[in-house]
Amino acid sequence: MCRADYTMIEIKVKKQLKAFTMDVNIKFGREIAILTGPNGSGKSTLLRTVAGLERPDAGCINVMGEIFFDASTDLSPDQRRVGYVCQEGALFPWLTVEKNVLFGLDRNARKDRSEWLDGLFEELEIKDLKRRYPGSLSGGEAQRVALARALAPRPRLLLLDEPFSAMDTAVRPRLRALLKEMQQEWEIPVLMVTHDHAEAYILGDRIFELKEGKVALCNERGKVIRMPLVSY
Amino acid sequence: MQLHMDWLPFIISFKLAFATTVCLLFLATPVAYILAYKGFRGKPLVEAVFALPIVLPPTVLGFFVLIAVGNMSPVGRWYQNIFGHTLAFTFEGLIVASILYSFPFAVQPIQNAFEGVNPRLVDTARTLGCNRWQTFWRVILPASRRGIVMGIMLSFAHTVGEFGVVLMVGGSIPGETKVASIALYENVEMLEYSQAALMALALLVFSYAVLSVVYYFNRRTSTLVPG
Repeated sequence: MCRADYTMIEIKVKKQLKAFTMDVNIKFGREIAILTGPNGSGKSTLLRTVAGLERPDAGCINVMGEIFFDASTDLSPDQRRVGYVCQEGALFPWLTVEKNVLFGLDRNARKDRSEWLDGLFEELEIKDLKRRYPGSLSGGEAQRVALARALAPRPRLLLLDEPFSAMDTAVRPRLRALLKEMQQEWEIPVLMVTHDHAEAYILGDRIFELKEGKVALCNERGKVIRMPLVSY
Repeated sequence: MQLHMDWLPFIISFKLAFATTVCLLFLATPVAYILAYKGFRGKPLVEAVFALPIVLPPTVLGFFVLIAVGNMSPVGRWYQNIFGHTLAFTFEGLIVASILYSFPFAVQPIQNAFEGVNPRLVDTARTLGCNRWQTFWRVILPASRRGIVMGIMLSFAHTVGEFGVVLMVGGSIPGETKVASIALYENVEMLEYSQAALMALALLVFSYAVLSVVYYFNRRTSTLVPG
């Protein structure tokens, strides 16, 4: 069982995958936690179980006092209030940038938060893109829109699945800085998957390295035990 | 020789195609959804049943519908008890037969479109607070609009092009079940070739126009809407 902890996110899940059993127990707070490790080590699956898009076989997921999953609970993804951004951004191509960002908000929320939303557009530098369609955006622009869309409903937790891997290496540093800035300003807990080791150590306050579904290494900012010398 | 065309069979054909298409939109969409997203035992058998009208001679389908709606079957008797007559040789009977006949032409494009929806879009909508029903309306339907329009156009055109089924189930009652393709056949039987030529030409132009729109629409949306 997870203990009710209002400051932490506790993810303790078991799930039988094709090649191995995922068995993970991690805990983090209002910080950027990184899941890293080789391809096929279960990172994305773990993220998807937290979002409610996949079901663990057993375990519990507790996000700051709210039980997402345990022996008797299994909230559906729409009840979890998490922001989820995947690699391709997955913007809705038939909606403008503005409508994409507002997708997760009902009419009242759009009205009540209009000022705050203006700030969000400004902060992510997508204000001038509002009327454009996703097909006309660059990779970096699309990913900023996807981030804004995930943040607009004010999620409890932000889940990022390799959000920068599909874009130019030249725009990545700017996006990483932006993410870090927003995370610190809002103090929103972030769980991010990346197979890029440099990125993991630049962004992460806490780094979990997965290997065949188990946490092989857990590092904390300032207490880095070792920088891995071998890259995957 | 008069070159006056009798438009009534065309009006009946279009009325029939319109009614059939509207019914099909509501019947085929949920079936397409289940076939696209749910796995169940015997699914290929079910899919084969829905595809039967493509390969079956229309007269075979028409024969079974005629038997099914006639007063020898429980369904036919039930209908007769309520409405006082059977469905055979009525416009409503034609609608039932046409729905069965055009079913695969509505289901398959819609099912293909549903299967082609990027699953990431569905996942994203779910995490943005949409339940399954909202996800269907706000993501799956708009993402599949091309396939749905295709299904509508193909069922409409296919129903206008019916012959064997209509002949079996509807007979040829002027103003009620005598559709364009049957009127054309009767004109030929009566050696009214000029009438027949006009009707044939009208049907040809209509079918070609519908297919052109389908192909044009197909090409345009696939190049304009990037993934």
